[in-house]
Amino acid sequence: MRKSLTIAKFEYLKIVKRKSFWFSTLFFPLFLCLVMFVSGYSSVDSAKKMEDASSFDVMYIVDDAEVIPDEIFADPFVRAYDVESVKDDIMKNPKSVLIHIPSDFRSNLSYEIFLGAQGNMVLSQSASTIIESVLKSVAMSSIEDQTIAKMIEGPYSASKYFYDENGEIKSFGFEKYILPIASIVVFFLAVFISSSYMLNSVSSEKENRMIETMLSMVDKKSLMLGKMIGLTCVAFTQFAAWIGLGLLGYIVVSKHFGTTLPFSINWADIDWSMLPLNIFLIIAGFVFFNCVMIGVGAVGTGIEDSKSLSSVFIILSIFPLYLLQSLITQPDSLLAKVFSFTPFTSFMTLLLRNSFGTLTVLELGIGIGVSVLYSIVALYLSYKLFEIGCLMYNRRPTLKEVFKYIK
Amino acid sequence: MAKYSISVRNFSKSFGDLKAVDDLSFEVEDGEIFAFLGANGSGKTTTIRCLLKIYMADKGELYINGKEYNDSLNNEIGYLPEERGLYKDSTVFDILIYTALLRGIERNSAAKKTREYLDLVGLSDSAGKYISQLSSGMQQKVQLGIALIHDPEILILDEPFRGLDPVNRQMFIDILLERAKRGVTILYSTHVIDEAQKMADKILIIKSGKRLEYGRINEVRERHGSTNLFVEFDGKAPLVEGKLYRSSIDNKIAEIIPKDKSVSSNDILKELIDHGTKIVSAKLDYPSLNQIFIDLMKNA
Repeated sequence: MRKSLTIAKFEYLKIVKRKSFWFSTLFFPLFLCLVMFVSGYSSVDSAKKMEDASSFDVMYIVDDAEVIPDEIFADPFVRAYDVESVKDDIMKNPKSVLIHIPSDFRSNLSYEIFLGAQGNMVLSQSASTIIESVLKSVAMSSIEDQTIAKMIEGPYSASKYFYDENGEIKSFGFEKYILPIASIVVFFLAVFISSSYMLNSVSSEKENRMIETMLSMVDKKSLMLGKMIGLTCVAFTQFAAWIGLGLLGYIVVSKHFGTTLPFSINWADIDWSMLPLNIFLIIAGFVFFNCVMIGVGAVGTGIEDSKSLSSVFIILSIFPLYLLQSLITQPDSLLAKVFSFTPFTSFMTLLLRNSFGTLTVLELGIGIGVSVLYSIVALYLSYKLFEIGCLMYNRRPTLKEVFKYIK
Repeated sequence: MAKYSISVRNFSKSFGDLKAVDDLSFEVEDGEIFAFLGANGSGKTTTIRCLLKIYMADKGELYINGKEYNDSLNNEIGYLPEERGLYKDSTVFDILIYTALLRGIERNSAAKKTREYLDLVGLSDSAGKYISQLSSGMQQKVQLGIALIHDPEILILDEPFRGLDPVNRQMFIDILLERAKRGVTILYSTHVIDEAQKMADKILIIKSGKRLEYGRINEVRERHGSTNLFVEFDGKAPLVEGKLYRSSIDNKIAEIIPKDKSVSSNDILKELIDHGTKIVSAKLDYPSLNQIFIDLMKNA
């Protein structure tokens, strides 16, 4: 164990002492915020632009259905009486559009948009957004009872409550989501970030040709364990830095702008019962994925080769996230059950389903069983792959060699 | 059983259909310098890896100090592998300290030993440099340092002189001879036969995993045919293939091998003089290790 701890410390300091580690750790959340801001700003901006009628010089409307009242026809809206009469202007002016509302519009809500040869999808979509907004406001204003109009228009707000075990009413607040979100974040960090460090560490050790020297000083198990401990600490250092950065950001924002969290947390309302299984699944997933990366790193010919090999396992393991809604809303579906007990997808699926309380007692038992089984198998296989692959330079072992060695 | 010794008996190892080592046996005694000679792919590295349990032997007994390699021997053995490498993003000082700590040396003592070693090999000024900033010769000094930092009683070195310039090669030889004087048992594999003849007490020559020759150097030389003539010459070199002899030339010294046991040294010297070779000195000796190695590789 002393050697494993020495290895853990060395691996930890080797990464944490790098400037590039701190640059990427601090830059990543800032970059994420920037991307979210730019993406949010541009989508709001483009939505505004889509609804802005002034982007057109003129919008001709041929209203055969007589749904648009006269008072709407102010610049840039111009009433036309037939399609052919404005055809020339539409063809000449790229910032003009013709909207034809046919006489049967009220029954089928279909209308036509005409643009010149230079017109494009953005312009046609913008014209469509503008005219539909006009039609909706005309329709809403024609409803005599404005409370009904408001009910149609929304938005609604709901206060959610639930009855606890004693029959008392409790507010259905943010507390319900704290543990599931925290579990998923910790799972992501412990499993994916530390396993990617593990992949890098094993494959670079092989690429650097240091592995044989190391194996003359420590046994393979101690080396693997030391790496796991050290690199997990790296992942959690990164996590702590992000939390620190978030808190710092919150303090700065609240001090300068006087804002506080949009919700309050009642810690007593958190459902802690899901925690033991979530912790178990995080540990089992951590062992499993780190072992997978040790195996992949050992059989790859170098860092790049190992990364390309690992991508298939990473895609498999995050697959449940893409089906999150289905897994929560249809916990009894065949897909949820298959994913819960299949290697690679089982850890995250079980974690998600347990967090949202959709696991039956039987499934819970089977889930624990398969998690232990998969972790043990992964440990065994990674050890064997490490043995066969770590000294195989410049080539991967063939499947035949692997099977023969494992037998 | 000597305290620090290596014993290999009837060892075999295959990789798939390839028999890497076949029924190999040898002994390295306490305080001995043992040279393991063979061409590339002859099974030297496989034997060393199996000895250290980096690979598992298929058959045979491989003992260090009378027992199979295990963790408890880590601190008594210094190993320089054939495939050498270092963490490029670590400093010279850090990597030597790290390996010393893994060998169980306490931190202060590890730092002291590291400084002493860096002084010895002239790398004190590079202690804070990253490995990636060092030349390959400097990196090899660090690699040797990893094998020596804990003052092991047994040194196992796979091609320790590979890629070294003459100055660094001599430095490595001096360091190893100094360790040998202190009683360290050294097993090393090499292609540099001349150095083995000067350094080693005992040799093993293998080809395709099979033992071709084994024993004390002079015993081996004695076993290989009649005495050869070693001629230091000036000017015109002896012919490679003369009437009465074959020759192998290294700088201005020719090893003259009689074609027939009945040919006398005087007749050979006469042929050399007739050929125009100016003889500076001549002596009779057993065949050189280099010649034996070449003959064995050709004939085996």
